[in-house]
Amino acid sequence: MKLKNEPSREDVELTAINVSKIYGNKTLALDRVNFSIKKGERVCIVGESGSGKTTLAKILCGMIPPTSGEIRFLNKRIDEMSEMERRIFRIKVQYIPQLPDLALDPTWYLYDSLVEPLRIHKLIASKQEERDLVREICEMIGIRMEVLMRKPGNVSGGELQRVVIARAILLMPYILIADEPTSMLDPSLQAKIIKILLDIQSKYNMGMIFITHDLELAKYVSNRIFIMFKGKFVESGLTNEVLINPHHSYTKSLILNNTS
Amino acid sequence: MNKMEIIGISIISCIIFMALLSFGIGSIIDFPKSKQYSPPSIQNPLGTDDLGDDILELLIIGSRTSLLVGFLGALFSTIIGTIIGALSGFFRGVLDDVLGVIIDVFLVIPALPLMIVLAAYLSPSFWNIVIVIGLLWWPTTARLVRARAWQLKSAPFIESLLALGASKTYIVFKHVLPNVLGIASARFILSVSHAILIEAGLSFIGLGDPTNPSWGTMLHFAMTRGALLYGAWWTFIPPGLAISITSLAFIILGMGLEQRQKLSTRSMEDII
Repeated sequence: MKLKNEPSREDVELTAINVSKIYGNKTLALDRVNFSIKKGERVCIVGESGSGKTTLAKILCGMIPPTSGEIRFLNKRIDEMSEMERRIFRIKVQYIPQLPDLALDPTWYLYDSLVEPLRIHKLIASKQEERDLVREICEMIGIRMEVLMRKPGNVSGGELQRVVIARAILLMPYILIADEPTSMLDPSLQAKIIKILLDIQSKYNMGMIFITHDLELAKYVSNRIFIMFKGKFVESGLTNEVLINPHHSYTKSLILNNTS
Repeated sequence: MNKMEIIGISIISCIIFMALLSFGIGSIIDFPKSKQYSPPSIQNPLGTDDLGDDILELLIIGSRTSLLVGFLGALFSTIIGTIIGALSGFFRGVLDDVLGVIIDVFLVIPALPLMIVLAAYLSPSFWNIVIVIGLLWWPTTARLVRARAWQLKSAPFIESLLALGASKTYIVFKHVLPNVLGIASARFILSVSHAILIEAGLSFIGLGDPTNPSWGTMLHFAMTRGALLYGAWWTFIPPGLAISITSLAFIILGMGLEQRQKLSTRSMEDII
């Protein structure tokens, strides 16, 4: 599946420069945040609830606009992109939302929800091609085809989360943002889903952003880590270095809480 | 199906069967006449009225108009309410402000007096009554649908579609409307009951369509032609009961459906 004018994969980079977000009049959710991710990287953003992780994720994938600062994809500000460039951005940066239960339309069959992004962007020429692609992705992620003939209310949380992941993967994104993809699942499923995500990441050499509050998970999945506290990155660097030798008091307390 | 739905549906199917029977009876004009105000007997199971018409036959013919006006009025008001509610809830902004004010204005208008005025002004006819009910009974539906659409707008699947670049029209028609259909259909059933009552009220005070007699019309004639003075209870008790039972059946069914909605969508509390 190739797009017209599709950029070569080598120079893919998603950057946030001095991004701030203010909700309403005074709630400062993000305070001059700088962030970047290249293809092939695994980056973790760690922080407690309300620290601004999800806000950053939504700004990065263009769901909500920042109050100030800029987001650049392929060296172009996303608010100054042409229709064509914007379409590529929308397809190639994908977001996996936090709550699996309203992540898909409850009145739609999972199959239709799954292929909807392809249909919206008219990326598939024939029904046959569509079905083959779905079969291939489902095999990779471990979704039984009969699950797709049901509606979201009739499948388990784990199956739903897999479909949500498959929906993002179908578009072959360069950057995948997973916002606490496992927070609603039980531990054994969590491990499976994380493994699937990591397999996909290395298979397609995607850039993947994990958002989590779980330091253990961060240690396991990421090369680079950003610690977020009250809308700011208080610490960032290689995961091992940051976790072994933290500088900021918040990081220290996080590590302490996690080990205890 | 829960108990309420079963009770509601069985009563309603009896009444619909009755309305279908009316097509076999023919027009009211060529009825064979009996003695005036004769009490219930084997020949006339529910007695006769001041013209010697059989009350049971009138009741069966009246069910047709009552039900039809009820259904059409409710359908009309549900469609208006659902569309206005979905647009207003989904697009928010200026459109929502304007539609919100319109909804609130219609909500505070005392509906029944205005309907009486409108029905009187428009001259009594079948379609005028349907239109009057439709135009004045939509705001509550719009409110409910709007709250649901509002909720949906921040649902992750809508957010992700917006981020994906899907057009708003596409989202409203493909995702928002199917998701408010459950609420809208429960409201529709409840509206039928209201519409039947309103039609009965309008006909009772003489604003009904004289060529399509309904249960309300029967009550009207019982009142104005002296059945009360005569003591002919069989002229007003059967239509009165029919109206109550029918609207009750729709209310029971509507409540059953609403309960199901509450079970399938968890956050309905903030809707009213």
